[in-house]
Amino acid sequence: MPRFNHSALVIAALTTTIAALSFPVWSYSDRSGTGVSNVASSTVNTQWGPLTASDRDLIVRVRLAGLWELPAAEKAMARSKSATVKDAADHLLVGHSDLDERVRTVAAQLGVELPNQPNEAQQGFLAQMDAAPDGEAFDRTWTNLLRSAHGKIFNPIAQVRNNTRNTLVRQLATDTNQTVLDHITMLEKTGQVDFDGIANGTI
Amino acid sequence: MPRLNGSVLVGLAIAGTIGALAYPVVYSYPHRDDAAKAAAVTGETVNTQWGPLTALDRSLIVRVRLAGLWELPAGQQAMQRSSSAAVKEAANHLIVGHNDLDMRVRTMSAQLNVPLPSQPNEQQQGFLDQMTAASAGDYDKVWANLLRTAHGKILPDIATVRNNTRNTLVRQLASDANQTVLDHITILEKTGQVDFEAIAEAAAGPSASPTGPPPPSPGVVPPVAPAVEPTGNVVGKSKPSPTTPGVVNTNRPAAKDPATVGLGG
Repeated sequence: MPRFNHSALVIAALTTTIAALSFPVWSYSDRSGTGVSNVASSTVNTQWGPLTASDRDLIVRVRLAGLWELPAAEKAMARSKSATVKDAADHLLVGHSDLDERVRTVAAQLGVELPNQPNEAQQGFLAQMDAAPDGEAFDRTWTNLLRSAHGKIFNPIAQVRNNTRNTLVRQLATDTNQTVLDHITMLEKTGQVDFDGIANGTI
Repeated sequence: MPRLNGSVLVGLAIAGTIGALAYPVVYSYPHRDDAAKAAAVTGETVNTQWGPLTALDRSLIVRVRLAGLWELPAGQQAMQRSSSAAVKEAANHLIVGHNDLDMRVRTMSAQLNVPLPSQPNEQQQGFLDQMTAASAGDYDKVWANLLRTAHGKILPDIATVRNNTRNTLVRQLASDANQTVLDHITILEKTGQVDFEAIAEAAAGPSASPTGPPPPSPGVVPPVAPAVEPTGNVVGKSKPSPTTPGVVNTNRPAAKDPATVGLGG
């Protein structure tokens, strides 16, 4: 074998080694495709700070909550005989009227378009309530649909409260956290919540 | 150059290359969950008179205890070292809040038979060391950000436990911890020292891909959304939960002295 080939092989091997070892340095945190760059790509600046996709998601979800929970509260006030269910319905009515006013103000300030109709899943929840016979069956269906929805949004609210850089969204997340915890607590006081179903994710 | 040396060099270079490439597959891959496993509170769900108690429930109890173990000394240190009224105010909230939560978890520890640590963990010890080592000029910033970061990380975990626990004692602890932690986050932010960019970056992690509505177009004013209103003539009697912006209501019945609460009581 001629000597020349050996040198070339050594150089090629060393180059490969150095390239392989340097590669991880390239994977710095804000390169394309990482979390930081994904967040940045959908973020706009506002006078209240950057507004991310998860910020806008919270704004829309708070609006959607009001769009189906207010009619749901009215159904319980009209149909339930249970004082604790009516009490919970009262908290939903007052709490979501209040949050809706806040979220409409925040959305107008930030230029976020809000839906005016409950989404498909939420319309399904309202239909399930309508289909439930009066009495225990209605109370149980009503309470668990609402408790499940409030429990699912509680963690995302906490995440936005932690990571938002927008002062309006920060205050909205605080107000929503307090309202949702109150509603969860009131719904549990009806004695109708299926905690096993919630723990198993089946409701 | 003798022929032998060239071959050795080639051999070494090839072995080094293969070793570097194989390392992540052979070592890192099977061990990738080790850190998470070590951090998790392991074990089965046990039944108690207050309902099933899961590993996640026990983890919250232990984490609330650990929070007190490092945040109380951190609060006391700021009282002595900081000259900022806002930092001292935040330190005061930490001391009051974690004394209260600590009494509650010690009572629960006895009731639910969950052993509690008596020392901050290594990471928390490191936070205290960082505060101690901070210069007078940096102190408020280092202090507020270490505490704000820790509180922000636990808030979503508290929310998860509040949703899915089947244990009535843990449910109440999660409610109380939510109020206290949200209060501490709020009061720490009032110091004006919180680096929100750093918190957002840490939360984004390596793979965040937030989904949400598209960004608003500049100059386009979205249509005004009508208020959601009751269709009937319904008037609510209760009060909305939000209070004055920047204030979190932490009023609740005083915690019982753990020493006076009997086992199973």
